[in-house]
Amino acid sequence: MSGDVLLEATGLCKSYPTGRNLLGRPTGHHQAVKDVDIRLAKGETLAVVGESGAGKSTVGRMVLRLIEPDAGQVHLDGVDVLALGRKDLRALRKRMQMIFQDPFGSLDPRMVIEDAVGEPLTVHFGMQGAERRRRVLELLDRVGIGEHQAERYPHEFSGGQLQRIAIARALAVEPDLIVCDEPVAALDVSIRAQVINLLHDLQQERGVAYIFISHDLSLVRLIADRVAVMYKGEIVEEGDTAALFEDPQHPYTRTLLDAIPVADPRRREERRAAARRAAEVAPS
Amino acid sequence: MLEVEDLAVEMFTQDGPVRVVDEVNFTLERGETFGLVGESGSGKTVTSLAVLGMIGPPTGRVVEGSVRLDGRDLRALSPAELQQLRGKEIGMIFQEPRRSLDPAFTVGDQIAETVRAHLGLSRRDAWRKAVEMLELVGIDEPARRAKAYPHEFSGGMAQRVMLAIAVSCSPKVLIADEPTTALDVTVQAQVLDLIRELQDELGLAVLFISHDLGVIAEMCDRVAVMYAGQMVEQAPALELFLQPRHPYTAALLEAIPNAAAGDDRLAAIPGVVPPAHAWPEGCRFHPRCAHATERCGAEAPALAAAPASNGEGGRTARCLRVAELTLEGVA
Repeated sequence: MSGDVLLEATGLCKSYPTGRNLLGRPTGHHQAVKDVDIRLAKGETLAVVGESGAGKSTVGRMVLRLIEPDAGQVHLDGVDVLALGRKDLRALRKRMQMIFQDPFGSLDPRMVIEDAVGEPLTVHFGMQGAERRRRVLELLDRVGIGEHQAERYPHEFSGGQLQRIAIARALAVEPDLIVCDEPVAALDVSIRAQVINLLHDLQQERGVAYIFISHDLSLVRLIADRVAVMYKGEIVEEGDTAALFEDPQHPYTRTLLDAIPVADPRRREERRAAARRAAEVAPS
Repeated sequence: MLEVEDLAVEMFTQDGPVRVVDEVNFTLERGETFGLVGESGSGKTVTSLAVLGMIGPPTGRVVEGSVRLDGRDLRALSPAELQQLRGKEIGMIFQEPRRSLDPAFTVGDQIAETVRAHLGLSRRDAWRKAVEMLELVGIDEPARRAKAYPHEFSGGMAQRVMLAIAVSCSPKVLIADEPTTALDVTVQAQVLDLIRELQDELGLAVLFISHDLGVIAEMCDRVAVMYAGQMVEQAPALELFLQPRHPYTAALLEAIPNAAAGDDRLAAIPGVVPPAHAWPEGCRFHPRCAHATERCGAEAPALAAAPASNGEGGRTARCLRVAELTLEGVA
């Protein structure tokens, strides 16, 4: 990692009760995240990869304090995020935003998109009327949504357009950090590239840092500066993207990389042999 | 063995019938894997449901075309005959394995029920067969696991159970519709490997449907690319990936993240996939195509022979400019 530190999280832990007895007391615990450290520089992209249940999303939400960690520290630009009271935390939300996998679920279906994108401007900056409208239209224009579409409701848009609208909403407060949780997993291949390129361009323009949570390793390889591989709640390997892909150190990282399908039928035989080797070590 | 000719399907919507698939032609041979690849709304799943005889009122109907299995016209079969055919001669697996299983019955019961219905086995023999099938699909301690309920299985294990049901009556054809899309990548690799093993062992013909070109490249012998309800290109897998003949195929290949290319931007296809009621005039891809001319907006191209530049045949493409374009495949 190079440059100024934006985010530093250390020793993050979270466990969930797995069952409860008659009195509602937990009978067991599942350790979803164990002792995770995350460091992120300004304008950097850190990808958090791993399979379902590895704890990726929990880490992303704990960093934003959408989930309270059981233990650990989170500092954003030196501010102790976990020590903030409700009001200060709300002010800090301006600097940290999140976009989710399902854009249909993250926008209010009864709100036209002008209001959806304008809401954070009102909440955080008290912006109203013509001033707010001008700013909203600028933001929408930046993500490729025209003025004539501003009065429409979410159901009138495709998934790719909605994800771009969600990005405009996140950008409205000019955050330093956006946690992107599988932002393109639900989109078609041809639309995926539009959203990824937009995130890339915005980073170049505004220096926003991303925590990019994904299971898609070929995408991660293209856009991340660094990668953290999670397995069963822990980071098992972390490193610069190129180094991690070329020379993975942890056996799980290797298994994960070997399992990515390759869109080249010439490599089929070699890939099948690798798959069989992986099957011998991988849990099923 | 399986021949689909000029298939066209309409779905009934609030605004009247809408054509969602047309001019679909393909054949599937014993032991072969034929891939249908395309984005959501391209007609892949509707095509497979039509093959299974599962499109009918009140949701839609097959308007034209024929589906033949070993020469027998499946469109002429009664609903009861079709039901007998599904499961016995054509097995199927879908994206959400746990949703396809009945949560109230053990997985052993569900396999046993299938073989009792189609093969007329006794209860005892059907149960024995169920355990045998679970073993075949690689489930440890099959006799014990047969007594477990679907919720006790992970997604990958549930898909193995679905495969056990699908192949339990030794079908000729397996239809696999996005069978690994909901699975983690390491589990996906295992399930794909299992499908290939079963195919070798049982001589299955597989109709493999996916939006993921990587998975298609690893599984399929021949591939058809679908866009807006039509096949736009059909070719042996190797040729399709190395030398696409339709601009949409080339654009999809280009949109695959490729770090080796050293570019940190992805090639995007502008615009969105048009919904079925708003397919453009002329070539349905022309508004998004980098190579479109005025003629492409006026004249609908037919799926025509498109020999590769090395002169090899057996390929088709639906593009007016197929003879003049040279498109890039995977490097």
